[in-house]
Amino acid sequence: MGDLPPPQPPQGFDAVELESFHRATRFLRSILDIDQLLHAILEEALDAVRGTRGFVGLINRSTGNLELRITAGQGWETEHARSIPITDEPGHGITIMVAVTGVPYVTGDVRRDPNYVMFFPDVRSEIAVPLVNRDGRTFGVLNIESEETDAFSHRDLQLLMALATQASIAHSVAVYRQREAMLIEVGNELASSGDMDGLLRCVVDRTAQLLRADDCAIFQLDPGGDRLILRAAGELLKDRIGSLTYHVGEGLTGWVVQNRQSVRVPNVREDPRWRGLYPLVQEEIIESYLATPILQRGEMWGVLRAARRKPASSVVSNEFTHRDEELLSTLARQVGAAISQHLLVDQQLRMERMAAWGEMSARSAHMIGNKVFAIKGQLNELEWLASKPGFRAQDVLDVAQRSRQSVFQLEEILTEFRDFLMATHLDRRPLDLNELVETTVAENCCRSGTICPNTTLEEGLPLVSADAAKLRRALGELLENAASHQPDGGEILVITGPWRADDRAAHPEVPSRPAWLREGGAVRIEVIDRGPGIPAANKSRLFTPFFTTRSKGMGLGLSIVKGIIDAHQGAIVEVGTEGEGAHFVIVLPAIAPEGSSDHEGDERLSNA
Amino acid sequence: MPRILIVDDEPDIREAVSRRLGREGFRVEQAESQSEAESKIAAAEPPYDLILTDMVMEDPESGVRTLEAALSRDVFSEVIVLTAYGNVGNAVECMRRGAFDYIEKNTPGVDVYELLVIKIRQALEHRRMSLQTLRRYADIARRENIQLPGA
Repeated sequence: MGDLPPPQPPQGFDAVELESFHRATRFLRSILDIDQLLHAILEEALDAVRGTRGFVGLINRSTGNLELRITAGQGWETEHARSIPITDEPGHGITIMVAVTGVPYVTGDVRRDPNYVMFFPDVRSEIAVPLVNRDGRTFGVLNIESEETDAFSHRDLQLLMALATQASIAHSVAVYRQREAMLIEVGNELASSGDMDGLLRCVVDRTAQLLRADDCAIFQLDPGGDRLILRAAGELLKDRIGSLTYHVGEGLTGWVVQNRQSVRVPNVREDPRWRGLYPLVQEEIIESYLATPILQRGEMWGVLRAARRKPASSVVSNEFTHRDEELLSTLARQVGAAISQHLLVDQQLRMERMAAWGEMSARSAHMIGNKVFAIKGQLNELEWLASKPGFRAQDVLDVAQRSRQSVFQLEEILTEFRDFLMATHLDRRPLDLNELVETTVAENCCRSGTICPNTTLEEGLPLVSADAAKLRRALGELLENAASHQPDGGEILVITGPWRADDRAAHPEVPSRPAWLREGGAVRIEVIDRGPGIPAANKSRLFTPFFTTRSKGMGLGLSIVKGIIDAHQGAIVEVGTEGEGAHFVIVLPAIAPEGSSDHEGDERLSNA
Repeated sequence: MPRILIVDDEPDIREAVSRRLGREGFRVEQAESQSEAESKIAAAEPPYDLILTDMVMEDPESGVRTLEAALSRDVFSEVIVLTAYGNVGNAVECMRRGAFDYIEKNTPGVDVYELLVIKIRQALEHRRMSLQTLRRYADIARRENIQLPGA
């Protein structure tokens, strides 16, 4: 898109006029907001041909109407119809005619023109030129009126057409940039979306939005490679996710996999490949169909497909264009990359955990063995004590007490073992972190001998999608840890708040994710104590399994905490200074608030 | 009264073993790590008769290091190695280097403490025999006016 065609100046104009044309062109190309752009074009056009009133109408392909988006000049009232059905029958006015034919039209006296339909009583002359996009499709009409008879010359028409051409190019650029910006946003979203199902759901939503599709779905090729299984879909098919299947080669969807090619069909019912097995929208109203393979590292992974309804107007086409096809392919590539990334991270996590598993099995066998050996010794002593004539009950009770302690320690090891294994199995629900912090702090306060933490909780935190029990476990571990390092009393502070730009600047150690940059994109919990802090040399090993400076358990505590936070796609970092106390920062992705996915300008994009 | 050093990083085990051996009439001292064991062995006067050491403590080689420390202090010291799950390989290595025996802490169906007492008695008997033999040789050497190597 970087190589725009040079502005084509209209023929037969003087230097001053040409200069003004070029200035206007430069100005128009600098505007990125589409509404602003159309407004500027209209003003420029009114000025250039000395009109009294004008508007820009854009074709809405879903409704089949021409929508008067931008108006200028006197006399526009709210009651004026802003949406006019497009039809090729005569007698619906000059603007509609131009929208259908794509041919400019000039009239010097509307009172004698049978094509004119009165809109304003004072109009005498009217000039209407089509706005045509790069595919040659008319996407709108630029319309200028005058109160004078024969107000517009042939030169005016030429000037307006040149302006309309420039406007169309600038419009295409703006649309392209907007699509590009959205694609980047979608890319970021995919890169940071958590589980695979969430990722695919996000793709379906975004694709429908970007393509103005009435429905969208993703099918995944099963490992055997002969069937496609529905993995994500919109309203109509969402209840059949996981159960609905196609054979490879069956229907258009199966054809895409068999041929490793995109397919774009203007009217599905006329395509011999179409089977209509599981239409995305009701069969009788489905019209245009688009599907593209999703490749993951060059291997066929599945199909991304979209469909549009038949438009209300028989004149306006609602087909997918080749640009839509390009867009869908781009999306499919992003999805493929996101899936690869997802599988890679998954695999890495699995390998790390398997390595830890191996070590943990050996260690826990060793530790459990040791505890059992000690308990055997205690039982041995009990037998001996009991076999002595006239034994002292207190001696027996002392040994029993010691073996009880050993059994408790055994249970601690088993609990750690379980928590380590279960850290990644989450039952996620929308969750208010402040509530969670309050209950966890209250639980910890009740235990004797621990320091009661102070809290600074910022109100109105965005919700997180989290496993409450797991997060309580993680926070509880940090609080217990903080207390155990301050045996003679001290201070623990728990802070919550959004993860803002100044937090990012204050803690550059915390990894950054694209989705966290958005306002309200992530939340933080900080746990701060006044204990001895973490020596710099220990920081890198702090979260690795079996690293402990305490005698309790197996030393899995902080690795469990990290496992839980990682499973939530969050991050945990220790940022304190040795001698000043430990300072843990946890960042968790927030649930995107409702409606945040609405992109302004979607409707305008659809006109491109 | 024979002196025994028990080396284990698990306080419960040191406690249980000490009580059991104390009951049998041994004088038992404790060390909670390889490094503590090494300094106690070096400082003991006379040397410990027997050292009972865990195999894996701060280091998987802790048992081997403790064995080396004991034998370099007194080559007739007896060393018994305690192993938890999966350290039999190291224990065999200890035997090759002069340990009297090894005992698996978690032998199913066996009262390991009874076994421990039996092995300790055997080891102490072995030490007594070794020292007796040494003394006999020394007597002969003195009588015959022979220079014994290393004496």
